[in-house]
Amino acid sequence: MPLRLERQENISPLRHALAPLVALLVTLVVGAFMFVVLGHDPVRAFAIYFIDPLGDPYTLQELVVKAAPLLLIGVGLAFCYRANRWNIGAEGQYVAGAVLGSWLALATHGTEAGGWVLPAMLVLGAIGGALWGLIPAFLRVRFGSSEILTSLMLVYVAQLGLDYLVRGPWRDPQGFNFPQSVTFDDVALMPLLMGEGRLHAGIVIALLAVIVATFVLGRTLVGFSIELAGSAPRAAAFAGFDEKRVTYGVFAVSGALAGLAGIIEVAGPIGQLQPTISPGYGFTAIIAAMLGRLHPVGILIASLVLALTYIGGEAAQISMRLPFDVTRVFQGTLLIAILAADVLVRYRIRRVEGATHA
Amino acid sequence: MHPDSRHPDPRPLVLSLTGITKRFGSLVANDAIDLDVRAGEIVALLGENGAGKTTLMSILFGHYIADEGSVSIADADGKLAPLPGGSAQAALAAGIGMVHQHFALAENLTGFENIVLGTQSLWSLKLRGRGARAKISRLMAESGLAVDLDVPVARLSVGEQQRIEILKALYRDVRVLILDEPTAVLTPQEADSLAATVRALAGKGLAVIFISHKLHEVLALCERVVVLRGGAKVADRPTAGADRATLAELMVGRAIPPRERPPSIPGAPVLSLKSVSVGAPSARDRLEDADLEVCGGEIVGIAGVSGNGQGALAALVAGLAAPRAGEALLDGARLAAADPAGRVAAGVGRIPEDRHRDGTIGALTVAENFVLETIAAPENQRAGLLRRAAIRARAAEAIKAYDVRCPGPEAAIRALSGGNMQKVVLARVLERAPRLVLAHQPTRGLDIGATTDVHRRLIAARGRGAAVLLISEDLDELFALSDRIAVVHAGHLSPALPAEGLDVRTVGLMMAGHGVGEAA
Repeated sequence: MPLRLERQENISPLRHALAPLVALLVTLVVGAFMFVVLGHDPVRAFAIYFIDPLGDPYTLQELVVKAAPLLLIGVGLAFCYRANRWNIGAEGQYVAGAVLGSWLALATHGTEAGGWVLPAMLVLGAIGGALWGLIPAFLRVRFGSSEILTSLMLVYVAQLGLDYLVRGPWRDPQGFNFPQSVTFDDVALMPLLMGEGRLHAGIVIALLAVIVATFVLGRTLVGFSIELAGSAPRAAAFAGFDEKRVTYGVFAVSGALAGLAGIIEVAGPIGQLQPTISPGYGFTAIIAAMLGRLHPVGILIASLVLALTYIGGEAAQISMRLPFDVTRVFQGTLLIAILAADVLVRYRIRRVEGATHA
Repeated sequence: MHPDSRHPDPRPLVLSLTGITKRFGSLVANDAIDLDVRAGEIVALLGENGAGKTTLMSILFGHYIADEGSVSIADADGKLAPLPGGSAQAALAAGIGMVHQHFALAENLTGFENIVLGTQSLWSLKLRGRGARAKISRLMAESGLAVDLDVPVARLSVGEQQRIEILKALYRDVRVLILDEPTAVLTPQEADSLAATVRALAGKGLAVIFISHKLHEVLALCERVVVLRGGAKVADRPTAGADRATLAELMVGRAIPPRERPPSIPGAPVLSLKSVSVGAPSARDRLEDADLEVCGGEIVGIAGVSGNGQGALAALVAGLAAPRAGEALLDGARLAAADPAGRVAAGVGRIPEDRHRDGTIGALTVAENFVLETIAAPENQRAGLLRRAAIRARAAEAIKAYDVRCPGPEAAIRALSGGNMQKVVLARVLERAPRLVLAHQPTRGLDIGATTDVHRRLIAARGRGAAVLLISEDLDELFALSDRIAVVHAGHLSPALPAEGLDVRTVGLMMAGHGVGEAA
């Protein structure tokens, strides 16, 4: 019996909002199946993954620390995705921002430089990410190349560039040949929020980004033109909106926020440059953006959920000897489930009696 | 089976719909509709948008299942048998064929391939040629549908593509052929030739259902007319003795006031083109070396079959294209660059050809669509911050002034009917009292009521002193509105001549390419 997808004209907002919950549920079912296949008790595994971290003050802090970069990057991606520009390379922009920001930290290392270093690093981080993001934007505007491919490929360019720097020119001479830079000076590190613990000022920046983005996307001319470019490019062009400016704009914003996340992470929890500075935040943030319905507040919630999979994954690695890949599988399943749920919200599946000619 | 005691028709019934009712929620799209069609009969199906024509045909085709009623179709022996609902395949197998307004042809395949496509297994490696070709040749000879079968369909004209569509239906041995707005894209001459074909086919016993907005065609071609209004059948009568006014009244349900068009008082030229070329020289829709002047207070009509250069002209005026050569002036200022926002600022009001894709944004509200072109103006935003309340208030006023039927300014525009959508576009364009109005196919797909409204507004804009450039394929519309008419064919624009001195036949010949190049 053939099936047909029928587009629905009036999408109920309730269904649109409920789709992520359904997707989460599906992911849990698939996850339970996976645990059974791996020979583990799914109830225990879920407890370790999703329940235990919530009861411990240390892991709760860690949850917020992990959610912050996802949130910053995800909010930036919302600009792109709302405009129907598919920036898949936030991970590369994150690295580029971290590298450019860290350059200042290393250049001022051991000098008397004062409190201006960290703010300047953050600005440089944002600039680095934005510049990296503008490359696919330029290639799309100038040559019509797919930003999906170019932004993704630039991730590897950035990662290998970072790899070269920490193994070569920026390697700590006293580091016993470990591929890492010197530890940043205090003036180049994110201040902690409570004097101790893990919560750092980057979390405040991420929350500020949510507020500003909600306002810009919802109430301003900029948000309106992004919406237009995304939903009806032809009509937008006819009405006189400049598509190129939107492309450059959303890639710059999204790159800047990813770059900012990168430098915050390096100047915060990590404290130095090393070959790997992200457990895939730039890719996981794509899931956060989609799960959060491209709305900054939604992305805030989604980032916490996804951060939980990171924390739970670490716990499961220790107590159940599950590989980190299980976390990746969770995140991937969640993305597929949310995309599928979106299709089912927008379309209705109808059985067609009798095959029609192709 | 359906005896008519006064005038028994000797021809056998081929199709009989009885008591077809279809509801969508609280909306009754079809209300107990009966329709009989006999072999060799040409029946017109008339009705405004939303009257239920599409729903009825979709039920016939198995796309919808009727809530009540039944469809019967004659089998090979001429006996009526019920058609199972909800199956497009059953409908095709029973001999129902339809030529849609928008063709369903694979443009990269030849006409021959398109015709036999779907009649053979997808797994057969080679199209069985000879038998099929013989059959198509016979059909072409019988119907008078001559067309080159061996070039890709993309290279055929619209009229030729339509012939392929009809041959496609005939090849499947249809007994009932439904033509949906078949003349909308044809020149008058092509339409005449189509009418001759339809008559010839009916003469051989084919039953034809002819869906059209053009009442004079219905009167000339069809012997019987069925009128739907609000989902119900309101008339089923012979065309003999009917005239356009009565049919229009039946469709709309009230008398249509005659159009009033006061004499024009042309002012100074607003738009003038001097040897202007637009579009790549290799493009089909381009303009070569065109001269045109449109003055304030007059409507200049551009006739022509779509794709002959009026698209390029519209793109130039709308600001989507820049002239490749020559000089285009708007109020004396040169239009050099492609700059939509600049055109709007310079006083061009633009009614685009495709109101769904260019004119409106379905996902946005009526109010947002209303301010689409002026969103950056100070009355709509301050320092980048949208003034939502002010926008909503002005949209509400426009909704009232232009009689847009919608739940309110915050309704999504995609939920509106085509006519109401066009009213929003009109409101956006005309509220700003433009110097030049570009009306590109402003009434395509609209029903009589909405069309009348658009025409009234354009005439009012002309009365106010605006220059109106009307691009249309509908000659009735052009002659009803235009002070002067120019014809575009294959990129060449004829001089604009006073409409009084022209007649439909001359313009039709020019649309087909006779005398445009030489005259220019």
